[in-house]
Amino acid sequence: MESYKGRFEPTRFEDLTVTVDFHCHSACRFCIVQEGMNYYKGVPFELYEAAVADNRRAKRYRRVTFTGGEVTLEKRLFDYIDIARDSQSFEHIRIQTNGRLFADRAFAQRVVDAGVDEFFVSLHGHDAATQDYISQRPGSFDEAIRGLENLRELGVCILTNTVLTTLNEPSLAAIVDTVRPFAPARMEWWNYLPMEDYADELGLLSPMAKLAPSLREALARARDYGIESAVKYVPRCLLGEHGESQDNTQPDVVIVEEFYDKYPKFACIHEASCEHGDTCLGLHHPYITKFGWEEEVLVPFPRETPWREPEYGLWVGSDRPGEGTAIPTDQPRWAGLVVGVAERHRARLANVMLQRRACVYRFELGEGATVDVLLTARSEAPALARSASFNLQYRNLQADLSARGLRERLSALVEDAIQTVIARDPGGMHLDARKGLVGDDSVRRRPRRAKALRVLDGSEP
Amino acid sequence: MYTPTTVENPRHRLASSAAAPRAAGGERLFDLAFAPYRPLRPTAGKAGGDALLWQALEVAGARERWEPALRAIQRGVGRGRTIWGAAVGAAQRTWRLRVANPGRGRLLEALRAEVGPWFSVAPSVEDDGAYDVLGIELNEEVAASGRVAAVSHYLRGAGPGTLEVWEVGPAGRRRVDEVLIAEAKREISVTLPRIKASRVVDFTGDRSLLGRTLIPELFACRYLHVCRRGDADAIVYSGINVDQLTWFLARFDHPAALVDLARRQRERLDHLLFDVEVVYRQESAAIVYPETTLYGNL
Repeated sequence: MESYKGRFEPTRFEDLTVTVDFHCHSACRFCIVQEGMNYYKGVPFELYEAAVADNRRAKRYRRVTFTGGEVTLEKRLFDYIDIARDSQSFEHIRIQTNGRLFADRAFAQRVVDAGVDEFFVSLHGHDAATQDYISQRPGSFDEAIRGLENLRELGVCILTNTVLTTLNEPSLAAIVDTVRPFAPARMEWWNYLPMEDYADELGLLSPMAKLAPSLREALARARDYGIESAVKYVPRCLLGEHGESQDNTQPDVVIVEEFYDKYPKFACIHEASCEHGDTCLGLHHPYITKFGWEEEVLVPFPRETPWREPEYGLWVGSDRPGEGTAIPTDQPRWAGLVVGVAERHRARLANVMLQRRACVYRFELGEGATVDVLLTARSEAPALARSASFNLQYRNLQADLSARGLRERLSALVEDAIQTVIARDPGGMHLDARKGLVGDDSVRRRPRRAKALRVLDGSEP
Repeated sequence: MYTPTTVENPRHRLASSAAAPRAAGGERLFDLAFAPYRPLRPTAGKAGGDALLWQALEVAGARERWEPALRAIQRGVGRGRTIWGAAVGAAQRTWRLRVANPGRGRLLEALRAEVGPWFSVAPSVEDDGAYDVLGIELNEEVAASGRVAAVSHYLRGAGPGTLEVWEVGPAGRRRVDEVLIAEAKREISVTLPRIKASRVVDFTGDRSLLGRTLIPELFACRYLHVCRRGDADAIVYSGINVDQLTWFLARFDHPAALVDLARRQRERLDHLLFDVEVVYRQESAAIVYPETTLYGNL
């Protein structure tokens, strides 16, 4: 049984991130798509247009973020922005950038005028020596700082992103000082994910014994300055009094599926005994392989409720302040497919879990008996039944089937749920707006003799 | 090392799970400790628990040699109570069988009768039925000699969740394995001290070694079997899913065709749980893996 830790599913359903292109004029040493940069292509423009049109109808996403690569290098950047703006279906338009081209005030002004109101700027070093070493581009720090100055003057929302590696681990608090003048709404701290270097041959993974104290110092400084922080991929128990800043969510990212095949997975040896074992990812596998499980460094929060292996990822809600429990905007549509079923069987629809690859309806029949009915994209794969849009299955049956009549009740409920979905599914329903947007044609042909993208197989160096 | 395959090889199709193709529905599924489990998905149209065995035999060029005897066991004494294992090691390929003996009957004698046309089984061993599980290994040596020299007796140990494994053959009887079985995540406080109390890995010298012995990609399983053998330790990850299986096969250099099959036939295998075993020991500062084994139901 693999928990969601292994699958990495936490998703904010209100954010859509669109990969525009994979060119960049920096060459950050930790770049998670360094090799992908040679092969990945962005979302085909016409498919992006269709996704926006769909959002205008369905109001699925509140924010669209453009990323790459460095999106400010994209020739059609303003076409992308214009379509998002004109759709009036997004509350925010964000750009994820190294900030260098915004050193040009006129360019910054033009982007803001086009409708971008949020700028997620990468800053990985507190000074030019560190940042330029990381980006391998002399002058990149000065350009980014000038860019931040321009954006600050233009009055837009600034967020910063710092990838935590051995290269900046000693000076994280100093980065807070560096960005403080620009009054960022939030600073994000992403622990390095060695997607293309499982064995960390580049030596970028920082051991928690060093990283955690430095990060806590930075988080404390940000708090003192009134800057919100968000930390990804660092165990919560290592964040001390800043545990609430842990946020492992990700938006729906439109990118080649190959990207997710290589996305690191996570585990924690204390998962079953930690109160936060359901939401904290723990350590990623490459880290554990290199440094061990850190079983003595990680300290589980005493668990007050019995642990049960999570079958699916949890709904992790919104990144909007105070809206952490927001439900997906189109949740009612999904719940509507089975409305009335539970009541007909003296059961309860306990949860509707909408994920990238499945919609899960969990029914409770009392006395601890539960069963999930799953909808996955319709295909020729084996399934209990098929509706117009979906393959239908049941799974995760938790029940004492020796209890009198329970088996029959469960069977009747599952059958009813399936027949109800079949009857109500109008066809054309999609679990994941990303699906189909980025196909094989979004990966450039690799030269025959090119080194294949490293598969995260855990092999020794 | 796994190399992505781009051209479909017709040999990589699932081998039929029996002489007459059968549905997996109704098949009793159990893990390496013979604990039954419910299939993870409805079984209509799915592969049987033995499908990967036939495939592994085929890609090893050993199907013709061993299939008749294995089929005989499958049809006869081993029905619904046999586990197969396909081991890949530096020395040779080994095929393992474990047959449950819940009533402590004379299982060895019955097994001898089943496989008699192909090989003999520990002719020097008297069958007293005093074992909970009987194990045999098939390899090149057996193929050449027509004789399985020794068998394994699996006995419940003194403590909860413990097993002892005894090799019984012409040279007598000797204990070859002590096994502790516990829930992977919930009972890690039980298994972790046993793993760290190794005689073949010095965890006190380098704590990071634990990350290469208790393998993170496989930790999300149902049970861990912590095995202490002579010159090596082993961990069985019991109850991994098909995605973890694919990772395991690729990581530990099982035949590429088998990896490809698990990947391509994922949806025909995703109702099953798999058990995999990783044998390890320390050599200088490194952890080495002399042998790994994939287990399934026959």
